[in-house]
Amino acid sequence: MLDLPTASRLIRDAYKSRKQRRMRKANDKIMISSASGFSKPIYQLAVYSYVLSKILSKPRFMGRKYADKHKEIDTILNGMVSASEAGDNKTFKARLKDLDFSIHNVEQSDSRFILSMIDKGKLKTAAILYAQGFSLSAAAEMTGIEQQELMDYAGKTRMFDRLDERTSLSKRIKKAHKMLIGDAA
Amino acid sequence: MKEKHVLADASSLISLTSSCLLDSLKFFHDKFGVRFFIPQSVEYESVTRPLSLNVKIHRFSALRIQKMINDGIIHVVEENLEKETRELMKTGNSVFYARGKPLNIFHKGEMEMIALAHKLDMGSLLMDERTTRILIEEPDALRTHLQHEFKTNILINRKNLSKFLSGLDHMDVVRSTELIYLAYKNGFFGNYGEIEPESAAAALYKLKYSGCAISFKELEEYEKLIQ
Repeated sequence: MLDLPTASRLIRDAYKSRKQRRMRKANDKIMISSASGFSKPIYQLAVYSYVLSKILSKPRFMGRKYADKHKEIDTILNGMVSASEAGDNKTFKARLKDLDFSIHNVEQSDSRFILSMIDKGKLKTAAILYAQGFSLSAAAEMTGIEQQELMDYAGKTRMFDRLDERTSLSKRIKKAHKMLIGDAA
Repeated sequence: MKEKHVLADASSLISLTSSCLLDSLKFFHDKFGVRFFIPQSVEYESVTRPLSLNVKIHRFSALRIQKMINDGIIHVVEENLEKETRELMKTGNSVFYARGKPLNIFHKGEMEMIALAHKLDMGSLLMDERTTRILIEEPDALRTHLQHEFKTNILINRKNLSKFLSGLDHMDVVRSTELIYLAYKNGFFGNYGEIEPESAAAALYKLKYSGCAISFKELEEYEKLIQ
């Protein structure tokens, strides 16, 4: 399981490389860590690494116009690493807020969707937690996502094909018949 | 007609309302005397919260559920289950272990449902959420899944599992897809005329896309049953 400084360094280095694939790999590692030993800061890093990978994947954000914003994010990520290494939670939280603000700034300059990239990151993270085996309410609560949004997203994935259930459909229908109609099907 | 009682969770109400199929509850209520119950937490999650936060995207769904409550199709059970819920959460979250640590995968939302089922001695649960249903039906399948997802060995604390499942052996859990299939078999889609079977199959797919935990393989089975 990743600790906070290691996860912070993974994100910082991936962002510095400006390579989307590297950030996606960082996100994968942090997601697994987030699920198996849930802590709020690690979960937040999972969301932000997802969002940063999205920024790096969009050519429109990689032009000269955004160079200063990228540098600003680099500086914030450096600050996050230093704060996590020093065990300074207050500063770490403040840098997370700065990161949130900077990402909003990047997005606002080219706003296209109702759902912000950070909201999408939260939704995606919640769906991954639910797919991994967390209950619906647990995944929604951890990420601050509405259950309905999470169900809507999860329903359009193949996550329910990933768990091999042995209860047959005929048995399920029999149970439902007994429950709703009252006699044997 | 003997009255039947079914406890419904937020996930089943959400997928039924998102699929415009919430009227199926009224259908079972009127035709087969089924009374649907929800705990206060489900009312809060599916009605009070979306309305109070003014979440416009979920507002109409919340109002449709509210109407079902107003019409007496869904009954809100007012029980203080804090202690029982806490106890169930503690036990449920001490069933699976990864690298020596318990996996805290359950939340009070689902545990309150189970606590209420215990308290009211209800054996019928309508639930579209996957994890809690699998824990009740096939805990070993959930373990295999968790192992695959977390890429590590997952241990089951059998004592805690037995404690969690005690009293649940008579509990039947069904999803909204089973409810809609039986509604179809009993004439719910009757006014669709010649496109009745096609409409029923489409409704089942719509439930899946709205979040009901059903696999495509099962949906294909349903399609064959409907044809």
